[in-house]
Amino acid sequence: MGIKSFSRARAIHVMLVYTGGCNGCDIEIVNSILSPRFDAEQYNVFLTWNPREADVLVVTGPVTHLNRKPLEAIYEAIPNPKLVVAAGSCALMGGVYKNCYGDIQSEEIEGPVENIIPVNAKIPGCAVRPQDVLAGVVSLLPTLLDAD
Amino acid sequence: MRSILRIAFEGAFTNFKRIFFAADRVTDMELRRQISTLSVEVDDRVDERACIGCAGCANVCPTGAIEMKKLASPEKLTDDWTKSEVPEINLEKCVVCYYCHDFCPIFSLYGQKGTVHPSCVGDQEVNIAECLEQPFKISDDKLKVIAQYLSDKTVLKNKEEGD
Repeated sequence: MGIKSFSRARAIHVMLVYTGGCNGCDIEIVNSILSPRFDAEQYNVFLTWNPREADVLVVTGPVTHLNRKPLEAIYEAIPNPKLVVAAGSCALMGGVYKNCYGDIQSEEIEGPVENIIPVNAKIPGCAVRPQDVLAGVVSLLPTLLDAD
Repeated sequence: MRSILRIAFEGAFTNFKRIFFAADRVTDMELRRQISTLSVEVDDRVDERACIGCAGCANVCPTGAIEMKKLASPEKLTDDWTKSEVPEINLEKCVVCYYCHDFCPIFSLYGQKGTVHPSCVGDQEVNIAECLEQPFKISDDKLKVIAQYLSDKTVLKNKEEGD
């Protein structure tokens, strides 16, 4: 085990990116990492806002026009190995925003996230459930830890 | 002086309980066990035993996420109804609108817990043989709506095209 993977195994940083949507998924993801009931920090998974520090990028929301460039910039800024998790039905297929003729027009939506950046894991739900978030993140951990 | 001692003793006793007996712990230990063995189980979305296989949920789904899959061995529920298929939710298409759950006749007519639920169907014992024999009242216009959705897969699609 190299020094890089040794230290990564002790501090996996999750970065949460919001790209439109209703914030419900963001609340559930922060809940699953910080709240005492689910508490992902006990598995050394931490929340960060710095892309240079992040290992896992969690994207929520359908990607709107305004959010496309920032999302790509954030994805580029994350060092390898990086993993992308799309969380919530908006990120998976546009959810209640795409093709539903609401306040946000379908033309404003660039998503789902797959169209913009490669996605490694998908978490369904509206909003996502903390159990599903943890299942998704845990299923990715072996990939991340065996990276180098 | 006495009150300070009392506070110190109470604090020490609380910490003793926390450390040795895990008092006031709120962490989900079952989930923790599943995560540490990398075997997190995904909750069931469909209760296949309680389902009567009417395909109403598949017809009513606005995103077409529900497909009916054939059962290996059809099950005869009453004299004129055989259950031959059960729903399967494609979670990548689901927007969790609960149409399927609210439409399920087990829930909407018999008042039992629904047999299809987009997040987690839960543990339940529904005796469908008993349900099907039990008489229930339903108004004519509601019956019309239900009959339309049950028989016609294109209701929602036509609504879309009408816009």
